[in-house]
Amino acid sequence: MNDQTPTPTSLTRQGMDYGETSDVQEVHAAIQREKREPRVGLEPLSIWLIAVYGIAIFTGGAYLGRYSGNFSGDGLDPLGGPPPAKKGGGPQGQQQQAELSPRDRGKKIFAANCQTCHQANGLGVPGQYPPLAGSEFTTGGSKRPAMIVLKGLQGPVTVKGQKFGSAVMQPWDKTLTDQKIADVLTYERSEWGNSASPVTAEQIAGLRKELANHPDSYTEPDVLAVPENAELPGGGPAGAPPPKPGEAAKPGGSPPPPPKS
Amino acid sequence: MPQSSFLFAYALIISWAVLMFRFRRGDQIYITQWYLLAAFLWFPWLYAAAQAMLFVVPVQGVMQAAVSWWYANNLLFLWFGAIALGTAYYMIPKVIGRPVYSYHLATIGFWTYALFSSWTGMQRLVDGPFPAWMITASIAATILTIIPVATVGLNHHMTMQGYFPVMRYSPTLRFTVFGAMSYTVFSVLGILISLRSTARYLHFTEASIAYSHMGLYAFFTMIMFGSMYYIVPRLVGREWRYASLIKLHFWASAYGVGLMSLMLLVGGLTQGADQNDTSMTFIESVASVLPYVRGRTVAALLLTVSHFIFAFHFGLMLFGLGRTSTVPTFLNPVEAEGSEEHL
Amino acid sequence: MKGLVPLFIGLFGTFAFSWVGLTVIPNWQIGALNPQTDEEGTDAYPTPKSGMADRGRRIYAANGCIYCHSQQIRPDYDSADIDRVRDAGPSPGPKWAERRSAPRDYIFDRPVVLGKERMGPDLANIGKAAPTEEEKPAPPPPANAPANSPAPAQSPPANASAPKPGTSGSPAAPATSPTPPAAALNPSPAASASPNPTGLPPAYSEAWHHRHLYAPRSMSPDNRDSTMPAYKFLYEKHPISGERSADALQLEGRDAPPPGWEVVPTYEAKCLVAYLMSLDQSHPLKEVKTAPGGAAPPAGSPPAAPGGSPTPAPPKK
Repeated sequence: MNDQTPTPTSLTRQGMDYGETSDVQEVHAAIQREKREPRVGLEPLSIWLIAVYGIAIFTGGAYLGRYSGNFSGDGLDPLGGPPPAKKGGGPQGQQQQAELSPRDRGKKIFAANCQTCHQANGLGVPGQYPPLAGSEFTTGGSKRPAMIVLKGLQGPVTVKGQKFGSAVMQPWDKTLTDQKIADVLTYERSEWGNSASPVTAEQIAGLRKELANHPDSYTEPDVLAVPENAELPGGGPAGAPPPKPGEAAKPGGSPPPPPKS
Repeated sequence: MPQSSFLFAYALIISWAVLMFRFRRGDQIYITQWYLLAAFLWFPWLYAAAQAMLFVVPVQGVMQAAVSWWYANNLLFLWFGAIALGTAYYMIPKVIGRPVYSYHLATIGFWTYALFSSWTGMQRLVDGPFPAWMITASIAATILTIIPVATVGLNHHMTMQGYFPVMRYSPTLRFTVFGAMSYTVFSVLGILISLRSTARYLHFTEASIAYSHMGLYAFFTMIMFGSMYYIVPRLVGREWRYASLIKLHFWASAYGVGLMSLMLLVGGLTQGADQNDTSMTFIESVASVLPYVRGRTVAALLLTVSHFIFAFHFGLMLFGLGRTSTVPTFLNPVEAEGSEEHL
Repeated sequence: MKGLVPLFIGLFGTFAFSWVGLTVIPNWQIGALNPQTDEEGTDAYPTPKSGMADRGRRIYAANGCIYCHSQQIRPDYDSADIDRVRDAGPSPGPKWAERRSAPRDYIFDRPVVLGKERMGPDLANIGKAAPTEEEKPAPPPPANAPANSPAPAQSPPANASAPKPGTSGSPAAPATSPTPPAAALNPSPAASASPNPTGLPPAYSEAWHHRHLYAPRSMSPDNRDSTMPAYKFLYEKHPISGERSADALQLEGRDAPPPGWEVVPTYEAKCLVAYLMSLDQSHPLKEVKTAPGGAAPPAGSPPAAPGGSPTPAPPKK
């Protein structure tokens, strides 16, 4: 073994790398300290571990089965059952739509259905379509406008002193639901300076039943036969003002709304 | 474009790994090689899928959040976690010179890890605007990750059986075993905070940060530190110079991440409980978590200190200022002559 | 394991399984949603944001607001999100939401900013929390104005159930910010409008948001614990030229600029606030149950305040 440190030149002449040593002990020590490369044993699986696997699979699977809603894109609720019907199904859809106030809903319905004739400002078209703003039919008792909307109106009619009659108003009982008719009446009765009581779907439903056998389309005399402030029964808590004393009972003979003190 | 150079660099790294793989001796593929090969393949697939679904053909609305979380979570498990586990499977048996306990456990652990860990991710979106089934699927997969966790944990533990005292001496082993144990803790924590009943209190709080930090630091980074303490001396031909600095690094990191996780978990619990209590105003829930967040700052300072220590120490090695020795740096002096056999 | 091929197949298989299961299938389920419309084809929800609100969303994402604020409401069986009441403003404040969030709420959001942490309250309905025109208190009269009565709360527009300030136009200058005389730049809190005893703008109005962004901890004594950073860089401080700007921020104490100066929002700040004011998820969706507290009263009874129609129904007894 050399005691002298080999000089760099002597090393490289021997073909060694700079810094490499020819000291055998030193070279081997670096190798000897390395353990052998890892290898793998072959111990068998413990039965307890398999039990743990079983429990895990059961728990995971049960959780997946229980809390997946209905595996559909609509199932946001993990415990939910079948998704609601696509079109929001009748009353449930209405309920959810009812976040908008009845007047707002009514406004939309009016815009989609009535505005073409009665105009957005409710003034109608002179000679053709009667106005709703300030109209005695719209703002009086709720029965008359409800009848008109449900069954339609034709023939000559006088509104606010003006004559109309060239146009025919279609019946809406088949196109609009009770809720929608109630909403649009509520809107009309509170818009454009009108201030009449709102109308509920129950009231319309009652009227619809009452008029079930009536053929379509009223004429003015039919409407005028109904007292001007005839209210539909079943108004809401702040609904119909009490009927004036002595008013004729409505054709259906329904009890007057509960008197408000 | 920065992405192309990134992908080019990645391709270079992988090609080297593939070459080493191709010219290996023996026909058995060792456990570490499964994990590393898996990580190297999974990462580009993952990245490409996420890029495609978020930028190239962007998905609509909340699916962006779902894809993001799928990507982030799979990055943690399929890239970072796979590399860390593979490294642990190499370092532990290498340092102690014993074989890995069971091949069967390793196989089961690997495949169940691949299968179940990749399905987690959506539990971070629990109760969000998503179909319930995908959240539940991720929670179920998180529950099922107890399988690979138990398997891998048992494998490592039985491999180390009788050799735990070696942790007193070897920095590599100390860091790696800490990381491997953290894997178990972190996974169990993940299961606990994913269940809907606990997520009610822990969602939208600091607790999910605790979970992320545990996974990325206590598990992945600590194992990487261990592997660096192993690899660097063999690269530069010197040993680590100051055992005291290694010890300081270890304890500061360990206490730092432990304190951080604890602070954030407890803070997250109070924050979540207060958020769900409508008799308290929202700002009170923030006020209740603030002390814990400040405690977390202290923990972060500890971690910063430990990183500076390591950086300094590593710098010494880079400049060739390590110890010249044939004997590796031990954290504590080796007492008796006979105990050297273990090392 | 011998053989690369089974390994490769296994790796690809597990990856593809998770990819398909967690991204492709959900994308097929909820990745192509359309806005909900009602039967007449009107009332589409949601609608894409445009103009300033859209730009505001990008500013929101760019400034990292998502790191502290979420924009998703959790259901009532798993959280108290829906019932939680907003802190600011007169109590009872508005609730956080009427219903949980659904995928359809976010279809026009790119990037979607759901958020994963709440160091600050959820913002999904912050636009709805803004006061309606009727609720805004009358502005206190300027000190040197003749005795004109201040403009009372404007007569409610016909459909003011929730304010929808024009998101494409310029944001409405806060209608209630007083124009104090040049000398008194720190209006005393004891303004004549009593809903504003602290001198703050009405809660969750645009002026409120501006002030909150500029000086989060100045909002009320309770907000001192807020950890929100001050986004002063979104605002400009410049000397008052002539008259004070209409959209200058009302600030007090340490946050107030020196006399003769004012703080005005930049265009970015205005966009951000326009975005915040447009955040409203209260529109009902068919696939989401509305929380029981928000169930509609039967049609016919006057809608509950606020902002209901001025149905002059006979008073309830």
